[in-house]
Amino acid sequence: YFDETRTLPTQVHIGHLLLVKSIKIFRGFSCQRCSPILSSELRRSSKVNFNPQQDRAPSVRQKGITTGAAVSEMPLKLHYFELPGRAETSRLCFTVGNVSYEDVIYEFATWAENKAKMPFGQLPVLELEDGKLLAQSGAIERYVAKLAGLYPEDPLQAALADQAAFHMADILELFVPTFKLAPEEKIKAREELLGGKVKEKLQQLSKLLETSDEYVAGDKLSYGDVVVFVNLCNLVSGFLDGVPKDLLKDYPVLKAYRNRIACIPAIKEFYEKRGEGFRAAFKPDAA
Amino acid sequence: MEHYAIQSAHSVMPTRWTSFRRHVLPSQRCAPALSQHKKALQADYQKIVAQAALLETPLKLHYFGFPGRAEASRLCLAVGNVPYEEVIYTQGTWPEHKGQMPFGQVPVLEMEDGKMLAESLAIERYVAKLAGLYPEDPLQAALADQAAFLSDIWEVFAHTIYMPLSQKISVRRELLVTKIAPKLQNLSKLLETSGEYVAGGKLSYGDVVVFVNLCSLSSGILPGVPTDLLKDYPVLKAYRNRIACIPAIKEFYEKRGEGFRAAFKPDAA
Repeated sequence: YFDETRTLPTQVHIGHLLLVKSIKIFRGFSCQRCSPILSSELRRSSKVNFNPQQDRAPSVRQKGITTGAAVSEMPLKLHYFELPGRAETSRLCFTVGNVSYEDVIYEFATWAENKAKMPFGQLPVLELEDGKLLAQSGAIERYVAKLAGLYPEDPLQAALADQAAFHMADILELFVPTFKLAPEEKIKAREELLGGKVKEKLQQLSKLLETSDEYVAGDKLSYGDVVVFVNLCNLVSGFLDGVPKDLLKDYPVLKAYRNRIACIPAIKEFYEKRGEGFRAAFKPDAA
Repeated sequence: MEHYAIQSAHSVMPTRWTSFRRHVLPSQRCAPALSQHKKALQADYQKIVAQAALLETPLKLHYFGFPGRAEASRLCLAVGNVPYEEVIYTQGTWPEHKGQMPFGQVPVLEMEDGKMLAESLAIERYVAKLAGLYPEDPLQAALADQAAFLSDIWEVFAHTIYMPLSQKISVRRELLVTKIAPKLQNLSKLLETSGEYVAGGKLSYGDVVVFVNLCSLSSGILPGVPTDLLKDYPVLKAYRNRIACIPAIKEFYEKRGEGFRAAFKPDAA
């Protein structure tokens, strides 16, 4: 549902990068991930990171810079565009679980050159320590959730997390056929959805959240909550023309839930540091 | 819908459980040497199955008669020998029951205590765990997920279901070129490099989901989608056939092979 041809301005602030880098290095030392044997290719690419523009297409920027000390604990790399979109759930799971990772950011304008390098010509893709690429955002999210301790071990709790996650995904999928429409038709189609199927599903989601505890599965945060939070924010972020940013005023249960998850310290901190553009909708009291 | 609270690990008596496991679940898949953690998980899944059978109110899978979005779950339950019942709705009976479902849709999995789990993809993964078809290694599970999500055809056609027939067919013809062909090419690429199964070197729910999606495409249930589609994709054709020949799956369709299910048999597509 996040059309890869949309252009989007991106910003890099050097001071921010350095701060993020130093925090990531600190985290890397304090929560070591087990590191399988690295291929020589991976070692080579870690050296490339010292000169981010070398050997890489100009459209690719490395966010987060590895140092010599961190080479043997090469973090996972999440390849996507800058926008939240289909990668944000994984980003948040990494962050909440304190699992080191790097963002590899692609620009919309030059994505076409890099498309063929991805297994199925799409993003997001998770690059593992050995260089292998894992595709499909749903697969990546669940894998990262397990690394982060956000995937319930109890099968039924995991099913409840899945239930909420897939229901939320259904809501966003309803917008996919509208992307290729002409601007006026697009707005009209989306308004119809908001009064029809999307409304029905948001009401069902409200009912689900009303009757579960604080979280969708069990009594603690899981990836199910992260998926619902990210996609509620995506819905009202302004990314979808025709979907008002104050949509959740008609859904008080969803509004309260979104806010509650936004206030979780690790999540709140993420958006304090990275809260421009569409990410403004991910902050407390934003929607 | 009340929040489901799973019963504690201590509620199943060990002696009854042991005898049940030895005599009533003879075809339980033998578990390779597991770490303590994995053993605990395995025990959890088996305990749920055991409790269900002991209570004589097995899981109930609510859906229509056709394969559709419930078939992957049905196959996982069958392969894993997990007792379950089907509650089948028809065009006639569905309207009165729609309101009873959490999201007004089926499939829904009704638990032993009456609580309802919605979303076909959530149900698939849950029953896969009960059936021993969910890889315990997170990366293998991710590979199963990758194949399963890649192969999903329903989301491609979802918005065409209620179109008038002529529009439906022309839109689907376009989707075959713009969405389905690339998807099948990518899936071929994946299967060429993954080995006999998509994850873990053995059958998993990833294979079941891919199989069901390929058969569904070729079943004729989607007007506008030709039933001999896979002739252009030899890797997929061979894979589909290989999975169709797995004894538990082959047996399922020997007993239940009419209508759309004919496409799920060996050599059918």
